[in-house]
Amino acid sequence: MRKRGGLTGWGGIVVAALLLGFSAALQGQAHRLAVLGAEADYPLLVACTLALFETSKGGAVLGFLGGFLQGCMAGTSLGYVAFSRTIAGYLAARSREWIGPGLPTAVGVVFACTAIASILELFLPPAKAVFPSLGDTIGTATYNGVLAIPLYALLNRFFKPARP
Amino acid sequence: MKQRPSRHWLWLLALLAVSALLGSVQRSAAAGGTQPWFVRAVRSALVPVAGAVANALDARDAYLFSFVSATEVRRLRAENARLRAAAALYDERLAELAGEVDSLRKLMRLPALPGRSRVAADVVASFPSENRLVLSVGQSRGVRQGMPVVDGSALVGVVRDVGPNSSTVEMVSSPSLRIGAMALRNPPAAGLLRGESPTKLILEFLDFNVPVANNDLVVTSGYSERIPRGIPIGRIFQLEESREFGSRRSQVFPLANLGTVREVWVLQ
Repeated sequence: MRKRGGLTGWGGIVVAALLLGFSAALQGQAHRLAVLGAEADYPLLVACTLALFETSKGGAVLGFLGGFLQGCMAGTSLGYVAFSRTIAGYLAARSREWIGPGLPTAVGVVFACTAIASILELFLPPAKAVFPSLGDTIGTATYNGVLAIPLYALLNRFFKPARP
Repeated sequence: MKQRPSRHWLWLLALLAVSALLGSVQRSAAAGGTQPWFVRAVRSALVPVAGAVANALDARDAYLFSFVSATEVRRLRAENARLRAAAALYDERLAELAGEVDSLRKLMRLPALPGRSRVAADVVASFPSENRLVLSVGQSRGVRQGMPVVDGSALVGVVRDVGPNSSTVEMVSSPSLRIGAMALRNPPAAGLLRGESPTKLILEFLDFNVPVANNDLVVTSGYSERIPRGIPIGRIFQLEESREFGSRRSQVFPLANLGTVREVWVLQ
């Protein structure tokens, strides 16, 4: 990898594109992979975890791409999904710059950014019931936080966090 | 060269603006029943992957099901064969009667009824929280906006937008979908149905004094160019009346299992 770190070069771009594409395809079956009623948000998980290796600009781009792919697949609310994910990706990368890299950071940041993106979507149309959705948000954030452990550990073997 | 953090803010703002723009393009395309070019491009790449993921999960479920007792599997297979044979008899009779109806309508110079032919489709992605399904069929198989989608027994939703090889279905549980429906009675109680949650739909009756009761079957009313009359939707489980406002509505439990539907038919 280059000295700058991050998802640089064709390798990084290809890995990011494949992971984001696969996660968007997998999201359509998330209800079948639910644990105790909680569903993971795979594109958001991948975007936030990849953003931990990038600058805040790269994080925003990764979040946007995750939201864009998910919105295209779901066929609805593309603008709102991309909007909330762009902010989540940006915040994930920024948080890593502030806190520093590491597995605990990854878990905490992915949990927090998933919760932020989901809460943002709560206030964007179409209107949703707040309390049931909050429960789902906590479940999804926890699921994503747990899944971030193996994903971050795997990515950490190949990529180094970018210098801000 | 290192970029200043303020430039990163500009990237964030630019991407947020692009998100809003793409969202508005998608909304206007969906209103016309089509998909914008970028949705078509993403779907042409990802729908096959989503289909492969769905098949892999089906294989996993089949493997887990193989642990169910062999006796139960044999019993279910026998029952399946018996039901298929019974359905084949009904299909034959149905085709005969449908042909008769068609020729009578032709004699009376009435337009042909919708929903006569059907296209089988796999659900490649399901987004219950968005009340959307993505199907593996599109324009190339004759699917058009507004066509009803059914599973084995009941209405699942209506086609919202169509691409060359995929389409998006808005499920009956969607609050933004309105369907003409009626409680099967004599005379039938007609109203307008909308979704509320995956397990609750609301049927608002047009006539306050119409007789309805719990457990009445709710079917499509057929007051539509695309949705034929008589497709089962659900059963009434609660009635609500408001005499001051002169409104009467019922809560309906959908017959289609919206959370787990895998194969559907698009009625043309």
